[in-house]
Amino acid sequence: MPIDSAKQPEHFDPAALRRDLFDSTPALLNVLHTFNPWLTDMHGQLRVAVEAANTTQIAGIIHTLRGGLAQLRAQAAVDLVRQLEAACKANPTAPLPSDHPSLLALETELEALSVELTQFLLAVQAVVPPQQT
Amino acid sequence: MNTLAFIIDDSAVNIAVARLLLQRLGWTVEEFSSAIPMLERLTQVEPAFMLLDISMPDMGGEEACRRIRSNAAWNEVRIVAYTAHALEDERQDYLACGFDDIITKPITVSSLTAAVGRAPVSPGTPA
Repeated sequence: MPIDSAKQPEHFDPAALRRDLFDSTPALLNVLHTFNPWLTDMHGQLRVAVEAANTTQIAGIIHTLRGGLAQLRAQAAVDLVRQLEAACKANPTAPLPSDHPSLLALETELEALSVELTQFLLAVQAVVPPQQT
Repeated sequence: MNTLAFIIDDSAVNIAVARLLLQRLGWTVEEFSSAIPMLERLTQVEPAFMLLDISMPDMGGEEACRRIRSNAAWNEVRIVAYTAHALEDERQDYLACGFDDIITKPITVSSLTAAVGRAPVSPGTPA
């Protein structure tokens, strides 16, 4: 498959996602194109909730993030989200500190994931004929 | 055969994957980003299958499922909970709400095929 010639990402697993999608490269690209705007939106919502120190809202956002990240097989980000969910559950009434180590690590991971996803899509589009995308 | 399926999830990514898989399995899909418009649509059409996210901002999947099961006219729809995680006690809670099955994200062809609970319809079969 032409997609295999693209550099394989470190922050997510497109091969696993493609297997979930009947090994269809167009279906994979369809989902990946959906992912980046969604990730930007969720990341923005998370920042607002952290600034507002709204732990209930943070818990809801990271739960939603977990579902999407799991689908992308973004394992490092999923692990960080799990840590944050545990922190929110352990103390649901206390505001999650904006410098919580898992939160800072998640911010960095989401940014890296977004950059890598963009690079991956550009690389794949360069080798997959337009009619297949 | 009724091939209409509903997907209800507040995550565009999870909807995209579920839609692609269900369509590939021959289902006609309607998607909703929250439960309330889905419940309104349910008064107009009758899906055979529903993939219902548990955690959504306006109304959670458990409450939506209770409302559906409280209406005898909607008892035929197969409702599968769709969640990022499900501990055993949570699974029992979901089943008690009226869900027929639970699948955990990430969704896969095999998990979805099993959750649908019947042989996939032929691709392209009209609703």
